[in-house]
Amino acid sequence: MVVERKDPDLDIALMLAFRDGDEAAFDRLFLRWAGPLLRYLERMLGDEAVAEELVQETFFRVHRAREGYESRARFSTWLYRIATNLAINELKRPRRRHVHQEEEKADLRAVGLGVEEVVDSRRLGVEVGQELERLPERQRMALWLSAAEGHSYAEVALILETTEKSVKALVHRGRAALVSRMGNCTDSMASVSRRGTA
Amino acid sequence: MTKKTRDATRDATRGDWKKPALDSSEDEDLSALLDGELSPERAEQLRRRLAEEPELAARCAELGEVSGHLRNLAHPADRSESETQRQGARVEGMHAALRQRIAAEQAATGIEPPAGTSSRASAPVIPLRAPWRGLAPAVAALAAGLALYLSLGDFRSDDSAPTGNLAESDFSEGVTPDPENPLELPRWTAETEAGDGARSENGLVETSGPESAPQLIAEAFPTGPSEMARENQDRLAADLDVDLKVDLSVIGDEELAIAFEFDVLADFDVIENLELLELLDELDTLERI
Repeated sequence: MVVERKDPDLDIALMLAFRDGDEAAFDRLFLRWAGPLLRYLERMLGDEAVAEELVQETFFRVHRAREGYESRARFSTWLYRIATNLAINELKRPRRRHVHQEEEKADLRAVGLGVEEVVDSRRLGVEVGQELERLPERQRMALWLSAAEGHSYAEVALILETTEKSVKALVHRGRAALVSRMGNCTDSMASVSRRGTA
Repeated sequence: MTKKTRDATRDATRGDWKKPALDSSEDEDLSALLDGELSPERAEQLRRRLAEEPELAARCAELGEVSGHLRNLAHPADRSESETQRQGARVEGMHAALRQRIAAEQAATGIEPPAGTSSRASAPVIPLRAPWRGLAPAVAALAAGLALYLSLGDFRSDDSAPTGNLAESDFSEGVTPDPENPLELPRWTAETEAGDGARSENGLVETSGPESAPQLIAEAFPTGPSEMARENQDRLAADLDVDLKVDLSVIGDEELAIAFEFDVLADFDVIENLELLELLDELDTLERI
């Protein structure tokens, strides 16, 4: 699968137009980025409603800070940095709900155990999503931004306010942890399945 | 993780597939290779090894599979139509809420919208075409007012000027307009085949008067012909059973919506509103008379 990359030049052009007073350019930026940002925040927070709040808050801050925008970095890097800081603050607070996680568990239950095939792609995807939420937050963020969203390590370093070397380590640790956990999970499922059919 | 991958890893690591026999820096480089973050030299070196070492290749496949699942979570390829619609509705909802918040903040701080924007940008979207038929009573009222207005205008204009269905005799009882200064109204009438005045942009013929209604309407209705109004012209005339002298197609959809729905006036330019209100007030006065 090819990760969808948005034209960074267009983003910058839109942001500069917005800085100069074009509100429609802001709306276009919102429509371009609200979806990916929402998915990112959902994965980081495990809560759809809170993720929606933070998407709005992120763009509200972009709107406020338009006059200070400079096109030295990608718009998406700036946007995700704001969103990530908001998410980190949110994660420090007592978690309110875990709707997303509950929905995924329901999905998983619906898929069911006992199939003879190894593990279907959909169930593994759901499991990866669940396991992702159990990773330490910086590993989770680095892995999602890099592997899922396609940001470069340099961009992730800017977003997480760290070094590229740290990002490389964070991404790998997160990815390796998921491989390990998925291995455990599929093994246990396979054994349950074998017991069920025996 | 596919069975094939797992088996390959198990074979390679003698059953302990959770602890691949790779040093940590190599493992980290495999991850970076998948993300396209290795130098070309190092990437080439690793690719050569991958071709020769099944253990390394199996580990790379495991790591890559996780990346594939993550990408699919971020960009689901098999998203259902209902899920797509739901996602779109969520984005629209967030956008609307954000716009409200921005407007509230600007109102609270007294900040004008930035230059180059109009109040329309942040105004709620008003569907202008769909509710047309639902506005039938308002259309009828306005059209009746227009017809009445035109009749009176004709009454005080030249005898050669065309009259509407409501003839002079219809007003002869009770009210007798002063032909010299009947109602302090601007002298204007709609263009007809019999009219001899120059056609304005809005299709009205000015007969006289420094502040004539054509001017007023031309300023109040600056937009071009309306396809919608043109289509509804005949239907409206038939519904009202009157011969409309005003070509509604010269009036833009927005202006018609404004004229028929006073609630939306606040969303449009102040100057247009004032002129419209003046015009509508005059029509209202005429109707009362």
